[in-house]
Amino acid sequence: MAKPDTLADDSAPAVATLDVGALVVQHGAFLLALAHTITRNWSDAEDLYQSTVEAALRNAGQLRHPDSARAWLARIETREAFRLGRRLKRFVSLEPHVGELLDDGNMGTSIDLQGAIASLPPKTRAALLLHVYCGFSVDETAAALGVSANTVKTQLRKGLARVREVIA
Amino acid sequence: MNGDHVPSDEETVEAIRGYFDQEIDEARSRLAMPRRPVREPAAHALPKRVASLAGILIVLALLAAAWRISSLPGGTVGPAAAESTASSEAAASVQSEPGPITFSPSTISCSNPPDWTLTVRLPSSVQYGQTLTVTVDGYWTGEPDGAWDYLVRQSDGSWSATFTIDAASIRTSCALGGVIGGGVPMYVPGTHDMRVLDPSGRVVAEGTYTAVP
Repeated sequence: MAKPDTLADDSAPAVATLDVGALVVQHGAFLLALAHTITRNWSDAEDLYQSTVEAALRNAGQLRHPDSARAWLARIETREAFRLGRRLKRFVSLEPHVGELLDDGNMGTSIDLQGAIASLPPKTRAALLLHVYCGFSVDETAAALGVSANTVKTQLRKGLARVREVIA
Repeated sequence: MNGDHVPSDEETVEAIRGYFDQEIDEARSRLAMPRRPVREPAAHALPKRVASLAGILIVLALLAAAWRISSLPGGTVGPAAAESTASSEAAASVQSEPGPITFSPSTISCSNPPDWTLTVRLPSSVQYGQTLTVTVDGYWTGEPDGAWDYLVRQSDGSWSATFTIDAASIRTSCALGGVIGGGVPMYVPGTHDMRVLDPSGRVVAEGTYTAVP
């Protein structure tokens, strides 16, 4: 079962603060992409990314294994995005950004597919990114999103079905 | 698309991966993208959605969140200042030379950063409410939306403000290599040039500081 309200991994000594900074840089593109996946707006995504970086450095002492950094950072970012009601409300109210979809240069991906993914709820989009793209387990995805594993399975099923519809 | 074809799980996953490949590529390019060089009059006109993390950091950390009202003798603040000092402004000769940006300390150390105090002085030619742009080493960093709430009008018509960047913010940036957001080398070791530009791209304040590891 996910433990959405904790960022700590108590099984080993903390990673040095400076190393956390390096890990943030290493996973920066992933974090910004995840932020955009959630917000569907690059300006908001950069804002969220910045909040995540600051939160990660504030909580650097809670990361025990560099190997789990990506999941840990994803957990911080999704928590930053979803835990605060006002942020969720703001993000939801902003989507879908049709103009940005048409204008962001992703010509290699069909507009249908972009639109289909953009039309999914933010957590479902994030679940697709974390599980399908990044290879997080269902439990890891659930922990990152602060929901149950069963919820993630449902989100994935609906997300995959929606994508399947548009590529059929 | 083609209603006769039922995509396999592999095809579906592949489509999703292709989509996120492009998201990651776009994110990577945005993180790597240096701020647009300035000295161009249209620097202030960039759409907000292309503003980089550097902009967010500079705007929030340097100005909007950290401006401290200067208590220089004779100073008044913001809109009230603009009105109450109208007569003195008329009496004073209009200055157009760039004002100084002073840094205390003038050398900022990433290994043990103190709270860092910056004092900006703008010439009297700057009009109240004008959109100002901050640059570091020619990189556009953002428009300090809240600046005019804090700038203090001086008796000679110039503007002044003192603000502090707290040590924790500096440590955060230093931990990320000293490069803020989209490539602004704010705390990269070396000498850096910070400028404030008016809407026409003219330099209205300038100062130099040094960053060390």
